[in-house]
Amino acid sequence: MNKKHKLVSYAKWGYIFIAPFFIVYAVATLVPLLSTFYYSLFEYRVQGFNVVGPNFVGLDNYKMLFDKTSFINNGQLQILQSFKNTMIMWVMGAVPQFVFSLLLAVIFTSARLRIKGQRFFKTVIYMPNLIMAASFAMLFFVLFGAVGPINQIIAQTGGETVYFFNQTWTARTLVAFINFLMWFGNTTILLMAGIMGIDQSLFEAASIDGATSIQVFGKITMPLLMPILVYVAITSLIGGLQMFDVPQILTNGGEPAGTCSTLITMLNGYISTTKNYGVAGAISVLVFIVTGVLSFIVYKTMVTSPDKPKKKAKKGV
Amino acid sequence: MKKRILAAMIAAATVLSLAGCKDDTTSGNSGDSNNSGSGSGNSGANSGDNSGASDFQYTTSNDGKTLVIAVWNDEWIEFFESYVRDKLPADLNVKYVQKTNDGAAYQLELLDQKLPGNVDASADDKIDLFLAEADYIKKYAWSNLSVPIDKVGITDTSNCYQYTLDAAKDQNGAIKGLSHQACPSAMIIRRSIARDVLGTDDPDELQSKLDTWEKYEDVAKQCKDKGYYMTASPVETYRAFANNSNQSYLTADNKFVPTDAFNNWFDQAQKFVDNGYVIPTAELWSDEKNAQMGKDGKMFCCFGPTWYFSFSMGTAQAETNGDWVLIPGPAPHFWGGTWMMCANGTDNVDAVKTIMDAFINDEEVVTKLVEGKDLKEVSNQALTGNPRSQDNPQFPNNKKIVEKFANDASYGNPFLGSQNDIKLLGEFVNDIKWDSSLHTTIDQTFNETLPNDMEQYFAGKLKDKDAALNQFYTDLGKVDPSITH
Repeated sequence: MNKKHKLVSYAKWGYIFIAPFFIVYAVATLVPLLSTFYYSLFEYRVQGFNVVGPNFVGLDNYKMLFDKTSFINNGQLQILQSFKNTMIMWVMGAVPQFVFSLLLAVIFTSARLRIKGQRFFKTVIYMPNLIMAASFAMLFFVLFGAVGPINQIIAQTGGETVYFFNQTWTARTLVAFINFLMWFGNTTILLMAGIMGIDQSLFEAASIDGATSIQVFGKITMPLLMPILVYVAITSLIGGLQMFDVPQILTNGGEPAGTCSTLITMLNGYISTTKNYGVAGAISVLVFIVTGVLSFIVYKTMVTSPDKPKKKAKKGV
Repeated sequence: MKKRILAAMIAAATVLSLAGCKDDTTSGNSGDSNNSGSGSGNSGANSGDNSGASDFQYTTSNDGKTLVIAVWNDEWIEFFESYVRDKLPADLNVKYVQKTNDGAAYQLELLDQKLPGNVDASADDKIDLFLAEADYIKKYAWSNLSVPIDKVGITDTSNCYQYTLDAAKDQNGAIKGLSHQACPSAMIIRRSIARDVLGTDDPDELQSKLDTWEKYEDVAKQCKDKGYYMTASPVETYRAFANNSNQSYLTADNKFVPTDAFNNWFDQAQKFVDNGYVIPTAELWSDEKNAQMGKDGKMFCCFGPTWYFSFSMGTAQAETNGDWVLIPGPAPHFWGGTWMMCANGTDNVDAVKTIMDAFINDEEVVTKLVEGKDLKEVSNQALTGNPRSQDNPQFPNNKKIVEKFANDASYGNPFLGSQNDIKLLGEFVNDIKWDSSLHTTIDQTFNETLPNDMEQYFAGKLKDKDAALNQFYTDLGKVDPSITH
């Protein structure tokens, strides 16, 4: 009886210890999140020093987002374009980032190579992440500007001025490149942690069996790294969908012709100065839904395949 | 089971918080904006409502210890700190609140947030004085947020130029603000290039060759033949057309219609782009344009008022100082202006009066404004303790002083090769008219966003004029969804 009482009391303390998180979460995130859903159903904006609304309009804000003739779109569905841009720039930055980070992580953790000065390299590749994305974008804006250093070099070698921010693909590439540069160090360190968590005896056994480096990578490292890879992919995807500061500053919120606008720069256009809570709320809700769906898809496609060999392995043991 | 529910909750919480990051800001701010209750102003950008009723009771007092001034840049602070501050009681604190003018942030994030609740704000946060620009002065003049200057105690405005007073009038004709500068805007020509192309840098001769847009176009062709650009940016001439317009961008039923002035500007700019008279990619506010005003610059001319010399000509002050000359050009106009307005709810009305009066009527202060010397440098709204490295001469809003300088043979602006710019600008500033019915509360959107969208088309970012207009309609929808087009 006494023993049981003690157990219950421990559990209570557990709840008390985690309570602060839930309280802060509820106040700082859950309430604003739910009110975003709520206000997305209202006409609610600031005009001059007057507040219009909130007037309940049902799904009108959502309809306007998908109505080509509405004041938001004027001929082109901005939300679809922004989503497309976001995904393109994310893929352009994330795919090379995964490949590059995986390569670095494997090299750094390789027992055979034993690279010296690892700490130095790890620090250096992580450095870009410490700089604010806005500063990074500002720097590139000046570097690649019409009269910036890059164009001065091009001019000195006899080339014509390249307007990096006036052309869709150069502008997108720069956005993706900055994101790549900022995040590959972070990803490398996460993947290294993942690889180092793999039982070393597996690698030793493989090398005794005569496996090549590629076989070790394909049959041991990759399958056992999957959970970390899934985590990295999903966080990167969520971060990618919320891509904002780099395109906002580098391309003035989406130039040229809106081909570098992202979902969040679009959202920012309705909220930052003009405070259209209704439309911005509707965009937020869509971003939320898309994030959820895409994360689920990434999780499903990446997790199911490595699960099967795991189960087999367990049976084997 | 409980553990599972808990785990599920934590997982859900994590996902929600990651995805919800941006949503915080969305609705987090919504509380702030509810404070507009006492606000007034007009819901349509075109038509004012009746909020500026003539019997409105403004709240002013004089028991404040801190003078709060809302500004958008450091320029006015420099003039104030250097020339006017010592006229205020020594024990009065001065506090600045600032937001950038870019993207209308100064209005939307500062004035519109604070002014409606200003009467009830705590003493040290009450805005006493705020500055407004020509592009949005109507918005604040036609509201109860600004106090008429006669209620502030200013009685003598006889020295001010009429357009600066008309711009600040509300719907009942009460003057709500005073500008320390008048902004007649003219054509600024590079002397050395003018000598090369036209064989002269004499202002009168140049004016005779450039007093109509037809002649202007002709000179542009000659510049092209000699390897120069007429202006760097295609948008350079926008204000010369738009600020001479006799039409409003908005019709009475809140519909956007491009004005004739806009169309004329666009057609000329398009022609100049096609003919290579300008650099299509050189945006109005860009390093690429600024480079054309430096020592290796190929730009024949630009358009602007006196503030243009100090702030908007890149490295010209250092590299091409003295190589410029001012002429009225084909279309003398005005551009900008900094109106001081007294905020309703002020608790330092006497200090506001002292400042306004000093800037327009105190001959010693106004003379210093024209000379622009001995300025204390201000950075981020604070005195740095250093003198300003560069003089900043102004065209003042005082006819008497303008006349004095215009007739002073020894006066000349070194940047313009000792030309008397006050005399030249003083000749046409009286012709500038301000017709309130042509202006809207969102002029900044028309005068900055619209040419900016066209600029993107000229630079090749947008495929045609229609695409540029569609982008503008989307931009307009962000500012005011009720405007049709």
